[in-house]
Amino acid sequence: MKKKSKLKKAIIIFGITFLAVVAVLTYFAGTIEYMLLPRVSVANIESGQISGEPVTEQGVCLVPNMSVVESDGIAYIFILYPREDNTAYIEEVNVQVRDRNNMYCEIKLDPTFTSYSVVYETSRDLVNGDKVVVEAN
Amino acid sequence: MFRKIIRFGFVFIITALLGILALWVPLNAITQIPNIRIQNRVESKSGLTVKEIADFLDEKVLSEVAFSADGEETEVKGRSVVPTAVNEDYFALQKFNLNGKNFTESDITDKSTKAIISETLARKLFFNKNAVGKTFEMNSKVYTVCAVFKEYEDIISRCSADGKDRVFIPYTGMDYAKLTVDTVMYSNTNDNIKITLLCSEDYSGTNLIQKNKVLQNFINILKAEAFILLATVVIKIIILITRQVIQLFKKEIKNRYFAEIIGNHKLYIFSRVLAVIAAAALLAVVFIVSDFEIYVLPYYMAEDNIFDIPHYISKIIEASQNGNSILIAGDTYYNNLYTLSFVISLFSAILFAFMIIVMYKQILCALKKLRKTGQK
Repeated sequence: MKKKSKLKKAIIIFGITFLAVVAVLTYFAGTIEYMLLPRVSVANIESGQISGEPVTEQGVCLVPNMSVVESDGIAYIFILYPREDNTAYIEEVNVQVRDRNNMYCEIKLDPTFTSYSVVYETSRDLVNGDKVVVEAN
Repeated sequence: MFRKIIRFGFVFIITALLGILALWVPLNAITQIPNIRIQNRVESKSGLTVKEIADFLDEKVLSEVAFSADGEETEVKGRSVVPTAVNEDYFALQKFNLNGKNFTESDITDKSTKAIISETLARKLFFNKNAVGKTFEMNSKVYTVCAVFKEYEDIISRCSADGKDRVFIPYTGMDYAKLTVDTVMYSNTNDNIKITLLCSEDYSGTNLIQKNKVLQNFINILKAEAFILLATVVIKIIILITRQVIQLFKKEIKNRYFAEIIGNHKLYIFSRVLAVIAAAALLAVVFIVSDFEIYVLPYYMAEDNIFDIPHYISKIIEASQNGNSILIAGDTYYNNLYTLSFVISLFSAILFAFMIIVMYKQILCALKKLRKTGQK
C-alpha cells in the first residue's frame, strides 16, 4: 500500500515537472529560436560604377567586395527580405561581376533586386532561404 | 545532516568537474598535437629560404618532411589574411580533418593556384564552411579552395592560436623564391635527422612526440589517483570482512575446535573468503591493466640520483628562461597549446588529488557516524 502511494507521488511529481518544463520552453520558444539564428551584417546595394561614370545600364550597381561569392565562374550574393520582427529571409541571387577594387564590386543583377540589402558578414553558415537576424551597423 | 549532505554534494561536484578538466585538457591536446618533430625559426635569425629547403629535400630524397613560410599579410575581399606557402606533406603530417582534397605533388610541379583554408575563414569569405570549389582573388591571382579544415573551437585551442587567418597555398603557387621558411615538420625517421642538422643554427627544435608523452603523464597520474582511491576503499572492505571473521573465531574458539567452527559456518566463511579474494583480484587486475608509467623528458633526468630535487628545480628554471628568451616566427600553435595544456593539467591534477582527499575524509566521517548510530 505504502509502495503504491509512493509510486503515485513520484508519477505526479514527474508529470508536473514535465508540464512545467514544456510550458517554459513553449513560452520562450520564440526567444530561443531568435538566439539560435545567424547574425548577419548588411549593406545597401548602391547604384553606380567603379569608374565613377554615371550608370546607363539597368541593374548595374556596387556592393561590398565581401558580399560576392564566386564559384566555378558563377558569382552570387545573398539579398535580404526583411520581416517586421527584426529578422529576415535571405535569397541567393546570381550576379555578373564586371569590375572590382579593394572595397567594392561592380555587379550586374536583376533590376528588381537593386532596392534590397546585401549580406556581407555572418556569424554562422548561410544557405539559400535561411532566416537570419540583422545586426545593427 | 542536511547541511552535511549539501557540503558533500558540493565537494563531489567540484571533484568531478576537476577530474573531467584534468582528463579533458591533456586528451584534447594529444588529439591535436601530431607525433612529429618541429623546427620553428627564431625570429631574430634569417633562416632558410623556401627554395633552399625545397632543393635540399629534392636532393636528399627525404619523405614526410613539411615546411611552411608565412608571406606578407594581404587582403582578400577586404579581410586581412596571411598567405602561407606549404609543400604537399604539410597537412598529411598533421592531424587535420580536411573536407576536400589535400595538395598533391602535381600541385607543386604544376604551380597550381589551389588553396586550403579554415572553416572560420571560409565562413568569413563565402558565408558557408562548405567552400570547396569557391574562388577568390589574392595578390592579383585567382585561387580555388580545394579543401577546408576544421579548427578546434574550445577555449584552450582558441587561446593558443595567434588569431591570423591563414590561406595555405602550394609554395609554387606564389612568389616563393625569397620567402623564409618559418616552420619545418618531419617524422621521426633516421633519414630526417638531416633536417635537424640543417636547422640547428637558425631554428628552435621541439620534439612533439615527447610533448605528447608528457601530456599522457597527466592522464596516467589521474589513473593512479583513481587507483589509490579504489585501493583504499577495497583494502578497507577487506579489513572489515577479515575483522568480522576473526571476531567469529574469537567468539567460538573457547567452546569449539577450529575445524568445527569452519564446518558450522561453511557458507559464511566461504562467502567472506571469496569476497576478499575477489576484491584483491580486482585490485591486481586493475593494477596490471592500467598504465601508470611516468615519462620524464631526458633533459630533466638526473644522472645519478633520481631524488635530486635541486637538479629538477634548476632544470625547470633553466628551461623556462630559455623558452622565454626565444621568440619564434610563424605559426606557434602547437607550442602554445602544449604550454597552456601543461599548466592547466598540472594545476587541475593537483587540485583533483586534494579534492579526492577531502571527499575521502568526508566519506570516512559519514561511515563512522553511520556505524555509531547502528551500534546505538
